[in-house]
Amino acid sequence: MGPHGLGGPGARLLNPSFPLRFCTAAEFLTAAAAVASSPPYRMPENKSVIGLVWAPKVPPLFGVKNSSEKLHNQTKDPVLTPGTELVDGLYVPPRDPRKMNKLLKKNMKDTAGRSWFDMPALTITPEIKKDLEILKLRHVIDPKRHFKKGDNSKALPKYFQARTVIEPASEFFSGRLTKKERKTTLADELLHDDALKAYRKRKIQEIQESHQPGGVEKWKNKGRQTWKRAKQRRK
Amino acid sequence: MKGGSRVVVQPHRHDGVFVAKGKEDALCTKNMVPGEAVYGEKRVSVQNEDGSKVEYRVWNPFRSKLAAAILGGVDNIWIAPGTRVLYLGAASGTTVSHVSDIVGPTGVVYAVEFSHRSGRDLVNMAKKRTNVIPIIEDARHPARYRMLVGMVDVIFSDVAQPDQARILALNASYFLKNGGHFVISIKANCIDSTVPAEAVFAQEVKKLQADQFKPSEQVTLEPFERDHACVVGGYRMPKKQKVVTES
Amino acid sequence: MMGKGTKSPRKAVRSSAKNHSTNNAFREDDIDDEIDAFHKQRDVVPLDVNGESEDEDLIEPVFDFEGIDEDDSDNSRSDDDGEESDGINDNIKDKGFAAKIARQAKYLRQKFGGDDDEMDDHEEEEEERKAIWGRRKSLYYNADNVDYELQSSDEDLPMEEEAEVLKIQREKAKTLSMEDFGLENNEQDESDSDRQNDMHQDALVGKTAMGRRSAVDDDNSYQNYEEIKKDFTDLSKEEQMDVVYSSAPELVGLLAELNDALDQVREVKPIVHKVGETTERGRVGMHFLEVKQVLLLTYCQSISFYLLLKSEGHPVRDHPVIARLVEIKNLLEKMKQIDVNLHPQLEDMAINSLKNVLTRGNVPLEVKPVTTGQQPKPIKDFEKSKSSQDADNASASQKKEDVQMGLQSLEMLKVRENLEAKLKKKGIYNLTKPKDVRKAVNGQLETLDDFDDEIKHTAVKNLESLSESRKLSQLVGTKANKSKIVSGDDDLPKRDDIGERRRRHELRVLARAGAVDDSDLMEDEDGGLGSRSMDVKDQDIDETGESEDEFYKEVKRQRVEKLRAKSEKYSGTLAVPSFVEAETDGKRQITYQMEKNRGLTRPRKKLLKNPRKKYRQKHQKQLIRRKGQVRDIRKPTGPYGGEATGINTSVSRSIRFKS
Repeated sequence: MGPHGLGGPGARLLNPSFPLRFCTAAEFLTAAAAVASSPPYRMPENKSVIGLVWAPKVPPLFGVKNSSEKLHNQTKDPVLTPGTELVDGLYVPPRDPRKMNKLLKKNMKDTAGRSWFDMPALTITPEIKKDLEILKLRHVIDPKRHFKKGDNSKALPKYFQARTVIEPASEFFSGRLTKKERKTTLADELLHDDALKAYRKRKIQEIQESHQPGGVEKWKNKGRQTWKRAKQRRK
Repeated sequence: MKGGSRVVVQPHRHDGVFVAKGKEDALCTKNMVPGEAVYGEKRVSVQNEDGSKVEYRVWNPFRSKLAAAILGGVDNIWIAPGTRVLYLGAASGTTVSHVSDIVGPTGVVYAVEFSHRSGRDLVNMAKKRTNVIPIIEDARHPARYRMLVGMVDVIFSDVAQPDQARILALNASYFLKNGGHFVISIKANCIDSTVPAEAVFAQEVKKLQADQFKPSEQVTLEPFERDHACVVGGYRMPKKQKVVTES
Repeated sequence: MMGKGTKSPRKAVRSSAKNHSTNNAFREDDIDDEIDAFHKQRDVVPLDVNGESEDEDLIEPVFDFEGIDEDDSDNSRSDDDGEESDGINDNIKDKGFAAKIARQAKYLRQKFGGDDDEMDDHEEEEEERKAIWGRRKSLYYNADNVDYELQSSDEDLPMEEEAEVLKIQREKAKTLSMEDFGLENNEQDESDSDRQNDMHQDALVGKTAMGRRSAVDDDNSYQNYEEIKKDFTDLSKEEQMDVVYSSAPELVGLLAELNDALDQVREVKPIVHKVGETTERGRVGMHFLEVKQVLLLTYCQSISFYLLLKSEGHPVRDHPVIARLVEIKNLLEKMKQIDVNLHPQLEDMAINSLKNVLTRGNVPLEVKPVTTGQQPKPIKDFEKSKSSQDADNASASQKKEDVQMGLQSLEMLKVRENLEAKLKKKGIYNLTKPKDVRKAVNGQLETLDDFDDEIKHTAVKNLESLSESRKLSQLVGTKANKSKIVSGDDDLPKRDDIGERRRRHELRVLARAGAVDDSDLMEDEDGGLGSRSMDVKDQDIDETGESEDEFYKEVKRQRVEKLRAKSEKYSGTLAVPSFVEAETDGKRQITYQMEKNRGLTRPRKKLLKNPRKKYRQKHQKQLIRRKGQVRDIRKPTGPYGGEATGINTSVSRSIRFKS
C-alpha cells in the first residue's frame, strides 16, 4: 500500500518534501478520511508544474477483504471519468491497456497473499524498523539466552504486524505485564528491562572503547583549520 | 511472552500459520472469531492500518500435536486456507479450532469425536466457528456420518487407538479424495508398549502403506510429547499428479 | 661429653687455672675422693673437646698418657696445667719432657722435609686394612696421633735424621715406665696367654712395619720391631714387605684377622663369664656368645698354628689348616650379621660386667674398655661408655690396691654423671660463665654483646677436626702464652678496628652464600696470620687471628658437611640411609612400596578404579550423547509463553520415506 503507490515516482522526484510515510495510524486515518470520497487518482505532477504547494494527497485505504473489488473499480474509474476531482484535470490516463495494467499493478495493495489471509506489508517507520532490527539481533540482548539460527538475511521482513499480546483472563496474574511495564515498542521494553541494564551498559562501553581511534586527540588534523595551521607552520 | 508485551507477527512457512516474534517466539493462527479465546490461550491483537482489527491466537504445541509437528519441522502439513479437513479424534477441539483458523472461512473442518463429554466442548467451540462441523460419532464407523461429510482434501487423525491405521484407511476410503493427504499422529504406547517407539512407528507406516497410503515423511514430537510421531503422506497418489502437487 | 656445650673448654681451662694450687695440694693424698674424681673428670673435658670429633673421644685414654700429640695450647699453657689435664700425678716431669722431645722431633722432621714415600706406604697399607677391617677403623687407629704414628716409624729419612729421631725416641721410651700406660698395665695383668699372643702379634706387626693396634701398642711394637729388625735382616722395609707378599700373600690378612679375633675374644669373654654365672634368663644370648667365643678361639688357634707352620718353614699350601681357616671365617661372617643386631644388648651386659669386675677387683681376664670393641657404637650409649671409660681410667691410673675405690664411690660417680647429663639436657647445668670470669679479670665494663662475635668463634672451636686443631694449636699455643703478659692495652676494649670486623662479616656472608672459595681464603688467611702473629705481639691481633681461624675452619667444616649432604642426597639415596638406620636402630624403615603393599596391581585412574563409578560415568556420557539424538521431553511450566529459543520457520527436519 502506501502513498507512493498513488503518487508514483515522478511525484517524489519533483517534490522532495513529499511525506512518503505516515508515522501513526491516527494521522493515516485522518488523511484517509479526507480523501475517502474522492477518486483514487490524483496527478501531483500538475501541481508541481503549476508551482502550487502540494498538499499530501492520501490514497484511499483499501480494506483487506474488498481490495479486489476496489481494484476492479479502479481499473475503470480513471479511464472512464477523467475526474473533476483531479487537480486541474490535467491527468490523462494512458490509453494503452498494457501500460494501464502496469500502472494498476503498481497500485495494487501489497500483501502476503491469500495463503496468509492477505497479510499486509506494514509501513516501516523508524520505530518499527528499530523493533525489527532488535528482533534480528535479539541473541545479543541477553547473554544467558540462546536462539535458534533463523534466516540470515539482513533484510527486514516485508509482511508483518506489530502488536501487543493479550493475555487470557486466567493468566491475569501469571502471564501479564503491568501497566507500567507496557511500552509502545519492543525497544522501549528492552530499555526498561532492569535485569539486563548492567550487561547492556558494559557492552556499550566496550564497543565505544573499541571504536575509539588511537593516538592523541590534539595532534590530529580536523578539517581545514588544522591544515591551514600546519601549512603556516611549514612556511 | 506476557500479556502486554510487544510482538511482531510474521507469516510462517506453512500456509495459514503465523509466528509471533518477541522476546520469545510462538506459533499463531489468525483468529476467526476475534476477541475470543478457545481454551484460554493468549492472543495477539493487531489493528490494521485500515482500522480493522485482526487477532491471532497463540498455538500451544504442548496441547496440539499438529503445532508440535510444525515446530518439529514437518515439511508439509497440507492444511491450508480453503482446504477441507476431516479431523478424527477432535477431543475438546483445541487443535480443531486452530485448524479451522488455518483453513479460514473458505475451508471446512469436519471434527469427529466419540466422547460426549469432550464432544460438548467441541460443539460449543463449533458454535462460534462456522467452518467447523462437529460430529459426535465413532470414527470406526464412517458410514454413520457419511451423509454429513463430503470429500475432503486432508484427513487428520489423532485417535490414539491400536487400530488407528485401519480407522484412517476406512475414513480415507469414504471421504478422502484421490491424491488427498493425511496427517496421522501415532502414540507408540497406545499401539504397542513392549517394543521401542521407532519400531512401532515403522510398523504403522507399513500398515499405512498397505492401505493405499503413501507416507512421505515422519516427525517425532520430541520436546513436547514422548514417543509420538507424526506421519504425513498422500492417498492414492497418481504418479503424475504427485509431481504437480509437490511442485 | 658432647652435651656439654660450646663453652666447656674455656670454662674447664679457667676452672683448672683457678683451682690449680688447691688441686695440687690434695690431689696427692686423697685421690679416691668423690669430689676429686669429679674434678678429674672435669679436667678430662678440655682434652677431648679440644679439637676432636666424637669418634676420637673413644681413644681418649691413649691421649691422656701420650701427652705428646695433644693440643699445644693445653700443654704450653703451663706445665702444671698440662699435668692437671692429664690427670696423672706421678710423672709430670716425664710427661712434660716427653712432650718437649716429641715437639723437637716433629720440628726436625718438618725441617728436613716430609717423608713422602712413607706416606705412600702408609696409604696403601691403609687400603689393605680397609678391606679386612670394619668400616670405622679410624675409631681404633688413625686417631689424633696418626701423624705421630707416621713419624715414629720412619726409616727412609736421611740417615742422620733417622739416628737422631731414634735416639730421641729411645730416650722417651726409657723415661716412660710401663705404669704410664694404664691400659698396658691392664692388659699385662689380664692373662699370660693373651699377652703372649699380643707380643707375638706385635712382633709380626713389626715385620709388616705397621702399628695395627692402639698407639701405645704401636709404640712398644716399634721398639720391638727395631730390635728384631736389627737382629734378622738388613733389608729395607719395602723389600721385606715384598718378600712377605711373595711368599705368603695371605699372611698379612691373617695377621689382621688374628688381631681382630683376639679383640673380639677379649670383648666377649667377660660377658660370657658374667652372664653364665649370674643369670639363666639369657640362655639364648648365651648360646650365641658361647659359640662365638669358641669360634673365635678356634680361629685364633688355627691362625697361630698357621703362623707356627710358617715360621718353622713348613709348606702350608696343601695343609688342612687352610681349609679349616676358610670354614671358620665363613662361620664368623655369618655370626657378624647376628652380631650387629645383638650388639647393643651385649654392650649393656659388658658394662654391667665391668662394674662387677671393678667391685671384685680380681678378674682373671681384665676387660679392655668397651670402646676398643670392633663394632661401631650407637651414639645413645656414648655417655654410658664414656663414664665407664672414666671409671676405667681412674682404676688404671691407680695401683691395684687403689682399685678398691669401692662400689659406693663408683656408683656415686655414676649417679652424678647421670644427674649432670640430665641437667645439661635441661640447660640448667651451666657451671660457671667463663666469659664473666674473663671479664672480671680484664676489668672491662663492656657489655657481653660487644664481644659477641669473638666469643662465639672461640666457642665454635670445639667442633674442629684434628688436623685443623693441630695447625691452630701451633699458632695459638704461643699466643696463649703471650696473652699472659699483661699489657697496658688490656684496659682497652678488645675489639678489632671497624674495618677488620666489617671484612670478617662480609667474608662470613660470602661464605654462607657459597660465593667464595673457602679453602683459598683459608690458606691465604693462614699465611697472613702466621706472619702477623710473628711480628705483632698485640693481644687483640691475636684474638682476631684466632677468631678468624675459627671462622674459616667453621666455614670449611660447614662447606664439607654441605657437600657431603648434597652428595648423599644425589647419589645412591636408597642404600646409604638404610644402612645407616640399620646401624643405629637395628631396624630398617620400610619403603614406600612396602608401606603401600600394592603387589603387582597396575596403576589405575582415580575415577575409573571403582567399577561402579566407571559405569556411572559411562552412563552419563551416553546420556549426553543421546541428548543430541533424541531431545528430552519438556514439561509445560505455567501458561504457555512461546518458545524461549525462538522458532526457525525455514527448518524442515522430518524423516522422509523413500517411495
